[in-house]
Amino acid sequence: MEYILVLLRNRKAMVGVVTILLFAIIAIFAPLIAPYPPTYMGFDQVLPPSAKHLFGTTATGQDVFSQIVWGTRLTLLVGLLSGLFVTVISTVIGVVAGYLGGIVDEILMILTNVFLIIPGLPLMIILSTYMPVKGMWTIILVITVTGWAWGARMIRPQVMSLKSRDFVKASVVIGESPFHIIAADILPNVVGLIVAQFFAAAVYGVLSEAGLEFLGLGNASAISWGTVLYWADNGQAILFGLWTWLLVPGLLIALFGGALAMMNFAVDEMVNPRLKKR
Amino acid sequence: MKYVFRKVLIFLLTAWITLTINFILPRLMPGNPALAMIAKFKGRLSVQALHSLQVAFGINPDQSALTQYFHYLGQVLTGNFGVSLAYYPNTVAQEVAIHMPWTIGLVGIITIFSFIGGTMLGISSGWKRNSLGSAINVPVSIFLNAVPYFWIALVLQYVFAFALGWFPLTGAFAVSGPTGLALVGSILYHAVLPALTIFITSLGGWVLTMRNNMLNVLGEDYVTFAFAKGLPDNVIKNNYVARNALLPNFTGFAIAIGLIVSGALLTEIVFSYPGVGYLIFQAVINLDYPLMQALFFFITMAILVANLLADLAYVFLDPRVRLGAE
Amino acid sequence: MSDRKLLEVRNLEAGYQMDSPVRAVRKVSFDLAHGEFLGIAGESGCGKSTLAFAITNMLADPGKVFSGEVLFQGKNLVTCEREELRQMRWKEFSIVFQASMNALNPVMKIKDQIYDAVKYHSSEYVSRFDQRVRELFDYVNISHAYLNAYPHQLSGGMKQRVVIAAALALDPKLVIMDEPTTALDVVVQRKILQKVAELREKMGFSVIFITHDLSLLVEISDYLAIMYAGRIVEKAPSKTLFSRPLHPYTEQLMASFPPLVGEKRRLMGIPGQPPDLSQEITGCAFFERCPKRISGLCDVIEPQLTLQKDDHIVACHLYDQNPGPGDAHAVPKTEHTN
Repeated sequence: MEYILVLLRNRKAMVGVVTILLFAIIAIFAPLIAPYPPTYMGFDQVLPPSAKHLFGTTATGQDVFSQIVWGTRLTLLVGLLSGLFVTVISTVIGVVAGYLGGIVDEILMILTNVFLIIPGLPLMIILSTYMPVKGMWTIILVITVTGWAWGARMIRPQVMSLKSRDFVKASVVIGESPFHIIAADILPNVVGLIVAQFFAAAVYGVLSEAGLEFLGLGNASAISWGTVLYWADNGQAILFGLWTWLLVPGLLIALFGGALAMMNFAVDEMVNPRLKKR
Repeated sequence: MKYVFRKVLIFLLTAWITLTINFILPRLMPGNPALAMIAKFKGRLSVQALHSLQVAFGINPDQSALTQYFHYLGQVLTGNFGVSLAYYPNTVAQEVAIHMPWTIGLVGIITIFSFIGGTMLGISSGWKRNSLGSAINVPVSIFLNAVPYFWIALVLQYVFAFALGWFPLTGAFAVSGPTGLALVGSILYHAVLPALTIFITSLGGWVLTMRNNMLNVLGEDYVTFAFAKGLPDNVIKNNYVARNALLPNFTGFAIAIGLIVSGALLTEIVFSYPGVGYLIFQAVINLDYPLMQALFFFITMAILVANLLADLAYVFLDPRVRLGAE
Repeated sequence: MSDRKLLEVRNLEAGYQMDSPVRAVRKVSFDLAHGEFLGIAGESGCGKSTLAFAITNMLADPGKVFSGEVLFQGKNLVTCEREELRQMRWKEFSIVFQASMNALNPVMKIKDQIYDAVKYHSSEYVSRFDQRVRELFDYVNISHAYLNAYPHQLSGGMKQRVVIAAALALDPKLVIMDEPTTALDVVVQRKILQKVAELREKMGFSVIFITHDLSLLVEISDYLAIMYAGRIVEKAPSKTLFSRPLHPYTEQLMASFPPLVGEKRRLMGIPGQPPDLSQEITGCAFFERCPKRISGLCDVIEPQLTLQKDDHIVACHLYDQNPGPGDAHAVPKTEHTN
C-alpha cells in the first residue's frame, strides 16, 4: 500500500490518475452529463458549435457533444479491457518462458519475436476484415492477439533473473511447487513491471480501437470516440469547417492515451531505480 | 556470425508465418469467407477474377488442404498474388509495385530525420536529466507518443491545408501532371504535411527511449571511471554514454518501425497519399481480399528487411557481437 | 623526502542525502605523506568506499560531502573549481574501483581508453603514447596483443590489471585503490598486490588501499587505519598495529584471521551488527559489540582519537589515561619514517 502513496507523490502519476478518473466519471455519469441522446437524429445538420450544441452537430443531425460524452464509455471500456487481456497473456507467457526455460522458452521466444515483428495494424486489419461479426469484442480480440508480444518480452528477463536469486532457489530446495514459487516469490517482484505493462497495453488498446474504428472496421453504429472520428471523416467534416466534430474526439483520445502513458512512465520510474528523479 | 545466422532465420520464419496466416485465416473464420465470396461472386465475375480469388486463397477444390498450401506457397514465390478486385484488371503485384515506393520514400526518409532528431534530443535530455529542457520535453514526448497518428494528420490537414491553404489537401503530386523539376517540386510540396505528421508523432518515441537508455547507462561503472579519469564532459557524454545508449535502439528497431509504419498507413489514408496505406484502405472498402493479403505480406516483409538492416548495423556497432565473447 | 604532506584530510563528513541524511564518513582526519602506503580496513558498509569517493570529490547525487576539507598538496579538492579539478584528475591522483570488471567501456578498444585519459591532460606522454602504453602493459604483465582488443575479450584478472595500468598512465602522485581485488581469486589477488608493491617501489607514488581483508595489507602497507561506522578508530604503522592492536575492534579483526603457523585455535567472529549509519550514534559506535566496554562511559561520550606512543592513534576510552603529547587532537603527527 506504500506504493500507492509513493505513486501519488509522483507528479506524472498525479496528472495521469486525475485525468483517468475524470474520464471515468464522465463515462459513468454520461446519462446525466450529456444533454441529448447520442443517436437522436432530429437536429439540423452540420451546425457549428453553439450554446445549444457545444460541439456542433453531425452530418446526420446528431449532437456531437452528447456523442462524445457517451462515447467515453466504449472507448474507456475497450481500452482498459484490451489492456487487461493483453497484460494477462503477456504475463503468463513471459513468466512461463522465463521460469521454465529450455525448449519451452525457445519456442515461446520465437513466437514472441515473430509477433513483435509482424506489424500490428496490418494484422489487425486482416483479422478484423475476416471476422464475421464486427463489434467491441472483435476489436478487443484483435488488439489482444496483436499486442501481447511486447509485454512478454519485457517480463521474461525479469523472471529469469529472479529465478536465479537465492530466495527463489531456497524455495526450490525446500520443495515448493512451481505454482507456489511463481505466485509467492516471483510474481510479487514483477508486479511493478506488470502494472507498467498494463498502462502501455492500455495505450495501445485505446489507439488501436480508434484506428480500427476510423478505418471503418469496427461497428460503425456503436458510439465511441473512434466512431465519431470515422463519421467525421466520412461526413467531410473538414470541408464543412466543422473542426470541433473532427478534432475534439481525437484530442480526447490523445489526452486519455497520454494519461495512460504518463502512468506507465511513472510506474516505470518507480520500479527502475536508475530512472528515479533525484 | 551465429548472431547474423539467427537473425536471418527469424527473418525467414516470420515471412513464412505471414504467408501461412494469410492462408489459414480465411479458412478459420466461421463461414469461410473464401468459399463464401467465391460462391457469391461466381455468377458475376470473369473467369480471371475468379481464378485470382482462388490463387489468393489458394483454393482448389480438387486438392487436399495440404496440397493447396504448398501450391499457394509456390504461387507466392513466383510473385503471383492474383488479380486485384478493386483495380481490375491489374494484378495485385502490379498495384503493390506502384504504391509501395511512395510509402517507402515517405516513411524511410522521415524515419531517418526523426531518429536522428529524437536521438539527439534524448541524449541531451538524458544527460541533463533535471534541466528545464528535460522537464519540458519529457511530458511533451509522452503526450506525442500517445497521440493517434491520424489525429495529428487531421489537425495538420485542417489547419495548414484547409484553413490556411498553405499546403495541398491530398495527393502526392499535382493533378495537372507536372514533369521534370516541377514534378519533383510538386512531390516535395505534397509530401510536407504527411511527412510532418509522421515526424511529429514518431519523434516522441525516439526521445523517450534514448533518454531512458542514457539514464540506464549513466549508472554503469565505466561512466564513473571515465569521470574519474578526468575526461571532459562532452567526451564522456558522447563516447561513453551515448555510444552505449544507442545500442538498444537497434535491437528494438523492429517494434519501433512497426509502429511507425502502422501510423504512416493511417496518415496516408487521411491525406489520400498513394502509398500502401491508402491501398490497403481501398482493399478493405472493396473487400479486395487478394490485395489485402498481399499487402499484409509485403508490409511485413518491408519491416523485416528494415529490421534485418538494423540488426546488421548492430553487428558493426557492438564489438561484443562482432568479435564474440571470451 | 619533502616534509610537506601529500594529502591532508580534515574532519571530513560525507554521505548520502536521502530523506534523512546517511552519514557514512564521520569526522575523518588523517595525513598521507609522499610515497606512503596507507591501508584502510573495515567491514562492509563502514563507509570505506564513500571515503574514497569523498576524497576525490566524486560523490554523485545523492552522495555529497557535508563538511570538512581534503587538502591535496595544499589545494582543497572539496571546494576546487570544476575544470581545475578535472585537470588534476588522473594526472595528480587516480582511483581504481572495486569490481573493475565493468569499469571499461565495452565499445572502445583498450588502447583508446587509456589514450583518452592521456590526451585530455597536458602531458609529455601525449606525443609518445604508443611507447608509454606498451610500458604500462609491461608493468602489469599483459601482452601487447591486447592493445587493440575490446574489454569483453579479457578475463576478470586482466581487466583489473588494465585498470591499474591505466591508473598509472600519467604518473600520478597518489593512487587510491578501493577493494581492487575482491572479485578475483586468491592467487591472482596476491600477484596483483605484489605488482602494485613493486611499481610503488619503482615509481614512488602514494597508495591508499581500501579493503575488508586485513591480511592482504599487513605486509605491504606502511600504515594501517581501521574504520568502523564511518570513523577511523585506530591508525598505526602496520607492524605496530599487527603486533599490538589497541582498539577492541582491531583485536577482534585480527583474531578472525587464521594464522598460517602456530597451533590451531578457535576462530572468533564478532557478534552483532555494525550500527545503522542513517541514525545518530551516541557514544562509541562499537559499544554494543565491544567485550571491554565500560557502561556509563562508552555509551555516553564518543571517544576521540588520541595519540599513544609510536605514532599510534586510537579512539577508545580504555586509553584515555595515557594521553601522549598532543592528546585529544584528531590530527596526529605522522612521520614517514623509512
